[in-house]
Amino acid sequence: MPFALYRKWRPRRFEEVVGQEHVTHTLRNALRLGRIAHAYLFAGPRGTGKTTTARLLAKAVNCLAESVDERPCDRCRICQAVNEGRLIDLIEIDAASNRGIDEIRDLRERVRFSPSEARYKVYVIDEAHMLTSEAFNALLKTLEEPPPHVIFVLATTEPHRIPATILSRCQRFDFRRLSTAEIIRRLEEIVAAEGIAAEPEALTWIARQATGSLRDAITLLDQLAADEEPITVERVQRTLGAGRWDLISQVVEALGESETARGLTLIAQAVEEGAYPQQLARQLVEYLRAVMWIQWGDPELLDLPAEQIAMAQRHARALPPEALPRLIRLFTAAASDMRTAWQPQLALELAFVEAILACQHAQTARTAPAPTPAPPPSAAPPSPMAGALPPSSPVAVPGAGTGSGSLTLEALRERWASILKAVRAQSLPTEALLKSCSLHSVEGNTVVLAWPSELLRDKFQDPRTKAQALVEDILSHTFGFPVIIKNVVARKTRRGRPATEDPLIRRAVEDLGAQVEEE
Amino acid sequence: MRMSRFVVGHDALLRRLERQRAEGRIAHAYLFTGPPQVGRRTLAWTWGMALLCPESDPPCGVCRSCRQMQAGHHPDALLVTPEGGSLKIDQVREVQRWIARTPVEGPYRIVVFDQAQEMTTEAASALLKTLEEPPSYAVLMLIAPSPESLLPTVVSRCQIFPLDPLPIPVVRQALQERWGLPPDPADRLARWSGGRIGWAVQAAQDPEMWSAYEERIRQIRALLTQGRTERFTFAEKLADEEEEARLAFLEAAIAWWRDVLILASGADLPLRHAEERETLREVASRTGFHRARAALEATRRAWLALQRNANARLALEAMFLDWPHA
Repeated sequence: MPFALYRKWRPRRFEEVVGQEHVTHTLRNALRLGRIAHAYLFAGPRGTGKTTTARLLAKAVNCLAESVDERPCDRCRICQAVNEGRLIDLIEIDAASNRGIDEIRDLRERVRFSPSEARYKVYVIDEAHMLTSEAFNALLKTLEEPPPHVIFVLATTEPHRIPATILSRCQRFDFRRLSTAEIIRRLEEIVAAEGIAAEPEALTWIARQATGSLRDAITLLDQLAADEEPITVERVQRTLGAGRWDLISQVVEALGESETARGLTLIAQAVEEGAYPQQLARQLVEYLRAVMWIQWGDPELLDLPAEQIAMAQRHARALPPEALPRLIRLFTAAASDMRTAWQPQLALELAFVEAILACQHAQTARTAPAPTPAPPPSAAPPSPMAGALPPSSPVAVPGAGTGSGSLTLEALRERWASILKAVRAQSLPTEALLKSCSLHSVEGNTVVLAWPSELLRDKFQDPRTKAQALVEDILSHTFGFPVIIKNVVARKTRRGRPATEDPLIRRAVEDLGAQVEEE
Repeated sequence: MRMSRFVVGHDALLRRLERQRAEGRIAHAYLFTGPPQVGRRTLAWTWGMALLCPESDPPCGVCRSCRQMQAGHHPDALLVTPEGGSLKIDQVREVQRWIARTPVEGPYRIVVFDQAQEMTTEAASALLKTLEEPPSYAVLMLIAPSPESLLPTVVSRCQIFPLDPLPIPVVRQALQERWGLPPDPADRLARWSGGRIGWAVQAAQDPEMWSAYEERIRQIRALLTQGRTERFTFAEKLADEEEEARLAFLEAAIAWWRDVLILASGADLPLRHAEERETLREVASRTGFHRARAALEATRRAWLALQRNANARLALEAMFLDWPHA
């Protein structure tokens, strides 16, 4: 008979609920003090114990055990009935299939009748966020002043979809994702009790894959336990379609050394060995994330085996840190890109090729001489800081030949790339920010930057980031006199740029023989 | 293990299912994932056939139950497909009513949801409770491209069986042994199919599909030497054709450019179009790695754009601009 492990191992007492002590503790205290609310909201990700806790609550408030501390006792008539799903006074409503106003009206009618065998009637409304707004409205009054013998528990994975009027009438408990360690502990219990042979490392793999959902972990365990052989790391990997870690590490190595052919061959090899491209991409993300953390000097927080961290440490030196966020994004996209699923490898292969380009790009940018606050190339002695220069009137500036020539929009455009480079040497975020603006105009010694949004402009102007000060400083050094920046917001970033700079227009001109009529 | 008589490849998955049955650990909810035409529905239905077959080594394929399954009208098996583009909450409710009745003949009642990714959010949510705690005799199976294409709450209640495109040799062998193709065409179709057995079998039975594919490859080659005018004329013509033909052209082009990219990268990997290795190599050496990559990306972009109902002609023209001359 189909009977899933996760149903068999549903906790029957509060002590057995994993990782939600903040919830069970509070609930038990409330029970002890007799301060039971009439409406609860259990919110949290899937597989973290919401429905289970709701049933436990139903058991606890109705349990026949003498001592309040022992409730639920899991032995009395009521507890047994709940375990077997036949307590009439525990009413579980699947809000997703009964989401309309009629169902709720019906519920409202029945709420008035007193419980038939237990002290309280407990209504568990699962997937509560699926109720229609009319249904929610119909529920409001009942939730606010239910008959004394009724307790409502609303369970949902998406609390933000519950109307505020409902939220304010419920006592809310947030269930959290379980840590890998907590999931492992529970899996160990199950494995021991069920007599399933499993390698400890294999359980770690299962737990990590579950990303905080105990039900996901137990479902996977169940699936693996269906075979009689012991559960080994290798079998878990095969079931998940994971690649060997040394292979993953070699792919990253190929990435750092720009060996496209080797990388593509490794990917093909992994797939041939039975790995799923998406899972490979996920592993690459995990690995590169480790590399990134190591580069930031914080590997303690990583949830990875020691040998993997050791391997990642080697690569942390080979990969350019500024490229990593992009690499991780590329592989993350490949991991979820199922659109060309009829060629499952393709997304991963393209991500890999693009990642190589990104690495090469970052490496060349790095080896290029970093022309930081370049001294003016003219014969004039290196000017001191901008502030030390005599304040020059705007009129005089364009002629002031001490710096590297007059400040015009043309001159500025010509040097913009090297200015960006200089900014980058000082602050990566500022450079990134600067790239989103366009050069609007030059008025005297004032450079006007056009920002696509207020948000970006404000970020640039924010005195705490010192972004504007830095750019002004570098501009001043480049041109040899103090330059001030004025910021404007122009929705169209293309304004102020010659039409031919637009890649589309350029393509039309070069490839299709179009002519620019007006600039 | 008799299921392999009805399913090509996927041996490891069949073994796992077989063991579940032998040990009586049959799950109540399965999710079969993978790209179209690799045999997901066949596998699911065969699994259902095995569960319902009363013989000792099921599925026997000849008993009443098996014959009913093969004909698609077993009283205890239900196939649910999207209606007008989506699986709706009413269909799920109907399934809930259907599954509530005990089996007519066999030990199980089986529901297969094809294209489960098309379930509306309402329908998927309505299914959650049934998926989690269905009646003891119920076995629910979902078919979708990937776990990510479904609600995570749905996925976490199912045992996941991922199906991949089959290895080319497996397709080749099946075409030879089960569909009686001579070695050479079997090899060609197997490679062109990229492991999609469904496509290969269709092409094996329909010579027109086959020649249409060859024609597409010829077109791709010709387009490379042609100028913009010819390419745009072709784009216009292709844009006027059926959506299916457009996508088929782009899919062939993606596979073709991937071959070029592999050759240009110097990797020694099997090619989809190995019969024209020389042409591909020439193109690879003339375009070089970067332009091959750009062309592949552009083709993939066009394919994705067409999936999203973009203006076909514009998408194709933009793609051809990124194809190099070679």
